[in-house]
Amino acid sequence: MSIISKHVLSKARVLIIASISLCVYLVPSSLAQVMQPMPILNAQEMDRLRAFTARLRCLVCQGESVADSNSEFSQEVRRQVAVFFKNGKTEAEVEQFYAARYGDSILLEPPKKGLGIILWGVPILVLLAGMGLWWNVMARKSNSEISPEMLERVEREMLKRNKEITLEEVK
Amino acid sequence: MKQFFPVILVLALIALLGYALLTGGGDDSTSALEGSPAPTFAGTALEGQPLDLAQYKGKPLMINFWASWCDPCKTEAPLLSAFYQDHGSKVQMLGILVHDKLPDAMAFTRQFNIGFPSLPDPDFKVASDYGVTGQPETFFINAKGIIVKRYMGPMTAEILKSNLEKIGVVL
Repeated sequence: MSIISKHVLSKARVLIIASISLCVYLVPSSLAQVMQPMPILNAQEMDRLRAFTARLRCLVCQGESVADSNSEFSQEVRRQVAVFFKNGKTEAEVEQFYAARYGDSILLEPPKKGLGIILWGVPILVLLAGMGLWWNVMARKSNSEISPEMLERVEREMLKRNKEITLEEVK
Repeated sequence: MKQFFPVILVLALIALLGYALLTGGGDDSTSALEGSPAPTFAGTALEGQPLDLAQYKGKPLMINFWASWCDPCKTEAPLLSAFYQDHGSKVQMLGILVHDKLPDAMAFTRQFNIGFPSLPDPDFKVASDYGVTGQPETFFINAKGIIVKRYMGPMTAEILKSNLEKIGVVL
């Protein structure tokens, strides 16, 4: 066997051993998490669960909703919400359940109270202030335009001046 | 000055919006339950004895949410074990076992010589009542049964000491 083929074989052996070691390390740790099974849902219940959990923030993720995330936390919240809905809880009750325990930050849409009012109200106020600013600028611009009376006066003055120049030329 | 008023107003509103956005999230470790009574729970501990939160009232308490498959919990376990052996008379300690297999959890407590009792929470009920998002998380509860502080992640001796001071435990 040549040196090159021996080298390739030993490289392959290292890769195989590394892959097996990785599997041995990863598989037991992922299997060790024991979560309760998700209740069986029909298509309508699935849609409701999906729509509701899309309004909840995954608190251990970066900018993901509970509906979109596959984290342990989101999987657990989805299962719990499904159980709540199966037990007849309303969406408002479930939302209140999570807000009371995790705070309003779990809601992707800020509530219309406290600091939430600022988050809702300020963009509207900025828009109104911007419109006011624009109105003010436009009003000033229209005020600076020459009025018909002023135009007439200017024309009269120019005509008078022209006549005076013509008379001077005749002289 | 008058012509700058709308611009100043818009800038002030934008600053207010920024403030609301920045302060809305707050400290990651801050719990919505801080200042509220600790949610009650009862059951059978991992070690087989009955366990009820009510029996822990009247003395500062530390509740640690953990799992044997959680690597940061392994980092924190020697500290908690040593702390319980040295200062268990000053502060009560309780574990809540999240998403774990009982044999794995028992092996974990033997491996790290954990002396305080732990309550299995297979359906995440206690964890969600406490607004837990992952493991480890530790709650510091004063003698009146009020949650004073939540800490997310593995603690160091300094962090543990400073949080214990908040519930009146001086080492």
